[in-house]
Amino acid sequence: MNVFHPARPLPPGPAAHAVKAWSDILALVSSTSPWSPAALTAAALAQTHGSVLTGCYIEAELRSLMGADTDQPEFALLRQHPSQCAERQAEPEFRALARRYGINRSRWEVAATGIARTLRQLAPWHDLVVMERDLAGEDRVIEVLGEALLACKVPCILLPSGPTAFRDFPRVVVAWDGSMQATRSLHAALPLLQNATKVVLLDGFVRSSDEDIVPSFDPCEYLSEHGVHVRHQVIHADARTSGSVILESARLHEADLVVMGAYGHSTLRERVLSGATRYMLRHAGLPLFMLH
Amino acid sequence: MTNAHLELACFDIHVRGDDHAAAMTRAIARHHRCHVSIHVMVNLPWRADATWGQLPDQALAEAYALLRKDGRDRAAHVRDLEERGDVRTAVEVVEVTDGNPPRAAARLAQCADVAFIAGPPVDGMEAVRSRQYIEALMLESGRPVMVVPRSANLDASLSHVAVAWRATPQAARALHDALPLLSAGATIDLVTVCAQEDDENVAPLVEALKRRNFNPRVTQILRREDSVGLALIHHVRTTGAQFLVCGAYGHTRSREWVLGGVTRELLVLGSIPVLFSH
Amino acid sequence: MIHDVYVAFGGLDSDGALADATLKVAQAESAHVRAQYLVQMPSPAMAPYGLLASPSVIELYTDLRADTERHASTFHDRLRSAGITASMETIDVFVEARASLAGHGAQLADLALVPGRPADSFQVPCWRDLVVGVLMRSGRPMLMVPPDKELHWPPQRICVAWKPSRESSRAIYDAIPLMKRGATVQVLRAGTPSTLAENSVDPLLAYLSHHGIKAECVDLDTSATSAGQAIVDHAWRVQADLIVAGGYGHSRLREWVLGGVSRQLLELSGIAVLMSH
Repeated sequence: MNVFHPARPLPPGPAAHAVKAWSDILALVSSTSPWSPAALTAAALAQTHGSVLTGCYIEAELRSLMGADTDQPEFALLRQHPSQCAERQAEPEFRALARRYGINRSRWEVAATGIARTLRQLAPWHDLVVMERDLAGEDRVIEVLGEALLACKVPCILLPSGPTAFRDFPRVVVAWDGSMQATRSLHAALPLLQNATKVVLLDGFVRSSDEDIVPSFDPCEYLSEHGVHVRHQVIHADARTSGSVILESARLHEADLVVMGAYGHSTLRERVLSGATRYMLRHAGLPLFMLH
Repeated sequence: MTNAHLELACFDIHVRGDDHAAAMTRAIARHHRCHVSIHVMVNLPWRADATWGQLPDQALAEAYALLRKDGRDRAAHVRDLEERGDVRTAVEVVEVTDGNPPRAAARLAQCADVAFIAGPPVDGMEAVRSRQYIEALMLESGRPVMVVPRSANLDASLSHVAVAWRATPQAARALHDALPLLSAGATIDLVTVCAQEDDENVAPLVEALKRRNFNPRVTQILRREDSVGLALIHHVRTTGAQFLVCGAYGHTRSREWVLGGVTRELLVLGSIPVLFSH
Repeated sequence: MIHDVYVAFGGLDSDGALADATLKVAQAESAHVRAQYLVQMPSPAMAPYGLLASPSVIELYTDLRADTERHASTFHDRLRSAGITASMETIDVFVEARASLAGHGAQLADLALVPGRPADSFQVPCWRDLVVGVLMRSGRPMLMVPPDKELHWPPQRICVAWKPSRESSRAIYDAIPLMKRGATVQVLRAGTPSTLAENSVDPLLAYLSHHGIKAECVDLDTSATSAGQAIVDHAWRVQADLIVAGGYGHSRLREWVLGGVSRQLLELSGIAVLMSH
């Protein structure tokens, strides 16, 4: 049997496979007392993956600021200097929270400017960003997400609205349509998938005729090689219905998380959120893991 | 108290803590030498109308096949856990096709004397589902429900319990529902949480319990700033009572259950088994 | 096992029959009796000059109280000579407090006895308070003792009105100790053919048989009549001793309103009814 291309997937086993790790996790924190779900979820993930945890507090007014370049002048007048801001005082509490989760190294930041600029400073040196869907209001979240995914190219976990935090994600549904984005997202989610107890792969890939020429990617084989036991399920759905199909499957399988690519391309080759992503952002009451 | 025959039903709802709830059910069944049914709940909402469902039949069939297999695996796991083999246990997979598994569980519980279920997890998607099941069992089955948190002690000599007493129908029902579970001569701590001394007159209740050959003790906890739930849990932990007996309070609001404050507190705080009746 | 029986006497014509029934049940079960005699207080509204009741009213009340205490004492003697332990309380009560008093009193009991609906319409409000108090506020099963008919105890033929509801489940749970003693049990389902097809009674029959209760199922067609009437008629036809049914109600402006079928059972039945909410 060829060691490099095994005929059958290797059996999963934690000892045989190096678990990929995230070295730095960033939480966008919307409240410090009590700690918002993003903070708690990020802390739990950092604990599991031995990561350094960064908490970045973004106060309410700044959440609506999107400009990456300059701030609105009127806000400059109203805003306190970051060092005086009350949330700066939350640093010791954040470190204490991190320690409770067994995390020895943590950082606390307070955003002094709009989310876009903040992210461009922080995200590039982190491996994962955790944020809540209602961080910036219903409409803004797409912009914030876009900033993180497109400009900073960092994986994001988007939590559903509500007070529930997540300690882990035992059941994961991976929506893979064969696109580069979906594959990158799957690859980036590997640490999560390796820790999951149930992974279902929704395969919506429509194979084209040049399949034989180009090396093909088999997501199930890839995941198996990395110690993930995955259930393969083929789905047939067009752009219009794929979102609801993914969500329906996620509900059926009682998923704790859906992993998916975020963006597709419009005919003008612009980056637009795929139909499925838009659907999930609107309807899914469960966490989403995305990468562009 | 004569050893009444008991039918115990445990609900496996696919959350962490299921195994613990099953273990507690068996421990009590062992004591009473009675029968246990474990229902492994599987949600398979049937979509007769394919166009509306948008999930093509083929994909749906595959998903269902996966879920059915999961259900069978869970049932096999539950059967494997029964190490000692001294409790007659029936494990069945319940495939719920009407989209309302909590109600299906409540209906099954109507044919048992006590329902057992794992306490709700603190966070995650499991917490939402778990609470729906617990609410349905507590409020729709008409039977007492034992909520078993993962951290609970499984001591089942059933010789010492605490009863959170108030002069309400729910508390009266909970107390009477608990009595068949207890050993003869068991100690029953009647715990009243009150704002000032002597709010409740429990003398007739004490007499009634003595007549049934139980050993009632009265404790009054003065409510300070602590929540009532915390005060009750603290009492149970410090006195070594095996579980707490408490009325479940709730009402419907636009087809959802709204639980009373203490009921919610006890569920969230977890840490001890609680027998609820509504 | 039935250890404690509760009974409330509200000064109704049926009190005598209710006392007889209580004695019978307590004797058959070797149970302790908690009897509360409610003496209606003269309400302040009756006084023409404010809060003081007029002398005639006070006199009436004093006589009433003395009478009540005599009844209580007589009943106590009867119970004692039958070897039954009892606690008797004579309680002054305002009209508004009747229901909650009965409810509280019954919370300790395994069975709470109430009379059937009085023929005298003046007595109906008091009766209703007792029923609502026991059914909705005690959390314990209520036994309605039929008017003008001797109570058969322990019941040998039992009809259980069933539907898959919480209340029905509760009533059956409370009635199991009675059904376990070798009584003949019929489970009645009242509905139209389509509704009857929806809910299977087999799990219930299996559950009862696990308790050693052999029950058969009878379907009652309600296309031409009300569920309550159908149940009452059937139970009468088969000469049942007891009807078991869930008690339905909802609170409206802090008062309880009994559901239609429950009211019908209590008002129409010439047979004892065991009801739980």
